[in-house]
Amino acid sequence: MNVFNRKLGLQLNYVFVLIFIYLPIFLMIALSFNESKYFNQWTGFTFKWYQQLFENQNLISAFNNSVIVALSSTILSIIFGFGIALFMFRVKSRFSKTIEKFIYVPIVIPDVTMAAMMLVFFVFLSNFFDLKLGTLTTIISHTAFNISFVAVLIGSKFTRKLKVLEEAASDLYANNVQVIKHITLPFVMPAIYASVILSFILSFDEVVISMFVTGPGSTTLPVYVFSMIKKGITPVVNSISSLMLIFSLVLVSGVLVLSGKDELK
Amino acid sequence: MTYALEFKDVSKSYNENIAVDSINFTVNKGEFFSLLGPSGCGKTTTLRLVAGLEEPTSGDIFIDGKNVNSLEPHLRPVNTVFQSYSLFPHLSVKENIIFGLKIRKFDQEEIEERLEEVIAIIDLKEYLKRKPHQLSGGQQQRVAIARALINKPDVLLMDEPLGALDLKLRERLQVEIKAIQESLKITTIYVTHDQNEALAMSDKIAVMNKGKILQLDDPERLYEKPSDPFVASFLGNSNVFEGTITNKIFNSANLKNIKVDSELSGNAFLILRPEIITFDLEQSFDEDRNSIEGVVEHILYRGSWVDILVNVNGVKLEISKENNFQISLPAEGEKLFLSWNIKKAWVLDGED
Amino acid sequence: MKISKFNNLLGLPGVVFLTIFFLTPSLFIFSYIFGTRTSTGKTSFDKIYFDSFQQILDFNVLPIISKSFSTAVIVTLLCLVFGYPFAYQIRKFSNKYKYFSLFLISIPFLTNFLARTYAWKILVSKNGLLTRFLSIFTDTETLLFTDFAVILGMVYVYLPFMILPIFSSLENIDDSLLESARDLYANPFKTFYYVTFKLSLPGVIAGIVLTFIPSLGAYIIPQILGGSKAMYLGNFTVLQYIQASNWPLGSLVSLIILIFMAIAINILFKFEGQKNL
Repeated sequence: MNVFNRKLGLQLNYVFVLIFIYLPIFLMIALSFNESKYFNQWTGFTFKWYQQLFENQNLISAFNNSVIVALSSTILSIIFGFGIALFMFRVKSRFSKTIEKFIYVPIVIPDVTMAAMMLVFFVFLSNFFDLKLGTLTTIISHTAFNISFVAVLIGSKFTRKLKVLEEAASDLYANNVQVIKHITLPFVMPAIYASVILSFILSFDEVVISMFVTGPGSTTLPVYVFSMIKKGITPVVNSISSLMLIFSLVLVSGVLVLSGKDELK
Repeated sequence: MTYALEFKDVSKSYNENIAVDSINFTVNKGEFFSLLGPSGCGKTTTLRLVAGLEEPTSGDIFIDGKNVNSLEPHLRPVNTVFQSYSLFPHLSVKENIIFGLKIRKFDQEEIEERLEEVIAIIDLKEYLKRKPHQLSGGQQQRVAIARALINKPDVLLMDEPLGALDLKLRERLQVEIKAIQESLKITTIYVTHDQNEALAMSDKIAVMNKGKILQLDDPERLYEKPSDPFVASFLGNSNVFEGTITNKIFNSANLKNIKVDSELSGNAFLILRPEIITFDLEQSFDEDRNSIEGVVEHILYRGSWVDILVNVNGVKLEISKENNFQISLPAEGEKLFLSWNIKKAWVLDGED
Repeated sequence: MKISKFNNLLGLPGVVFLTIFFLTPSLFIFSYIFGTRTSTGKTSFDKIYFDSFQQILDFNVLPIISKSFSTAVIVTLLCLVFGYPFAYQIRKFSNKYKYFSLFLISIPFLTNFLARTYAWKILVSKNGLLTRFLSIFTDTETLLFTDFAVILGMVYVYLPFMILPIFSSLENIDDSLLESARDLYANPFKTFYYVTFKLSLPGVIAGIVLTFIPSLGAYIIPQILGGSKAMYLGNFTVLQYIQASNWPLGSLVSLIILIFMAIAINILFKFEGQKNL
């Protein structure tokens, strides 16, 4: 295998992978405008599948639930996650080193396992408290895994350089709160923005865990769409999927622009 | 009288690692005090103990007579100029400098006044609006100093501030810093591993090694009369020999029959500064001088002076000669005689 | 000292939250293993049961475990085979194209994976493009509901998880290192193997773990692409909880997945010199 073949091989693979990833997506978006219900015929351009979305009350309320859950869990995750990240950065005890290892568990754990865990736990709790499966349990569950993502993402921006800057600020009469306010926060702000968007997306897109821990009336959008897909109904699935895709796309671009800014500096 | 700074039996260790081992010293108000030593000797740790960025494991630290052991950094009347400047990257030069005042909520008038004062001493007027990354190393250094000085601290701490700069700039800043310190009469603790720097700038130097202070003295005494072989070899070029003295004659493994002007006997160290040694083509039989034979091994041209390494009986002696372009230098491999006035050599008591 | 107390307090809310709402639930899973399913569908703990273990054998769970395991291995391998060269290729680009490629590969990484799985479903269903393309060569009527579709679907969703960590660790390799290696070895293959590949290993390991574990516990993808017939660990678990109400068995299967995951994380940490996520 000579050099030319190798280079060609790499480039072909590159193109192939990109096509592999994007072809289905473009196809789906295109089909969401297809007049026909069947995807092997194109009978015309239409918005009707999108219109049907907006007339579907269940879907709209599921969307609202998703937004509420995502916003709430994002806020909680940022607060808890930032605290843990700062803790891991500043304290070097045996305890903090253990946390550093275990913080990865919620990131890697399969959603099925986590879903089962949370369900079992909440049902048990409902024996003692008036706790029903619903929006609150969903928020708690999403926060439980989001904290790790936030902590790791913000934590990655805590460097030696920051430590020295914090010491300099301390040396210049800033107390703990002032150091965080004037030095730490500005320094890791890009990571915080990225975390906000990341948490929101992860919560908004979460299917299995939500499926287990929501109750009637508090269904989230992905769970609703999933049930639609399972039933295999109308091409409305195409349009809602396309919308969800584009929605996340906009948010993800935000993540990358903000964290990419740091790399380019 | 209260000292500006006092360390009483202060130790600092991290797990099993002893960074600072029971050190004692005092610093007078307005003094320029240097901590000098090789990497890892504990000088930076000592500085951080003063700043409050580390807490002593045992012992007491007093600033202006007050015990500050558990006093946090932001409450101490002390400011640090860090090795890497540590200027806040998201703030402008002006905002960096006035940071300490703004944090303490000084009013705008006072801030402007102090800023004017500092700028008068350290010329920074043109850079006030710029961000740190737009400045050169030397300029950043000045900003770091201004940022500390504007707070009028009781003690100013400097951690190898000139380490990252080139020689010319370093020498110029040494003069500047010393001048500022003298005019403001501000007590300064200065950490460095460069003995020339310490000798040039300090009123007092504490030479440290392995967490201990080996000798604390003014520069002249430290250089000419070191009390410890490590101090002797750390300051200035080597030529420290270990041997025994009997009846004013020094013998080591390689040097024999060296006359010394000392009452010591037993194990001893002989210290010969390169400046006191001259070389001749013939042996000198002067009573006041020693004259030993050696072979020139290397000649190192240093511009305004020349280092000559001479092999005497297996051991190397270094001598320095001003390069005045007239006296011809010996060639490598040539034999010559090194001699010095016995009164100029320095002898230290060795361990038994 | 006050500062250290403050720093410890910073972490407290998060740690407490995770202890209550993550650690404790995981312990519950463990204890449910020893219960049994009563006729009403609730779980009884009046004594220590080992029914769930018995059921692993009775209900043919072992084949399901091995199927999920082998699927996960295949998916991971495929991701590695196509993902590593992709990451390697991006590395050669100038900064602008590099970040653009990263952007392209990251969007799927975080955009709605339900939507992407569905998009893939379109391709493999009865009249989908891929099915029609393949039917030119083989005698396939429909790809949907086959293992093949599930595997491809998983590769489709998890590929970025492999690419990004590998890219990250490749990025950290100094070009000067490669130059001096080329000097020493003179042979591009050897340079690649001894230097590049070995140094990118942390990223490869991370990618493998991030691909293998979700594949093992996948539910949505097999459900959508494999249909209700498809029996993988993920589907089986959900079945026990939602339909069969056999929580002890469901918990035992969850524990099995957790054990695999713990082993994988340990391997990840053994190889992890630098932090490269």
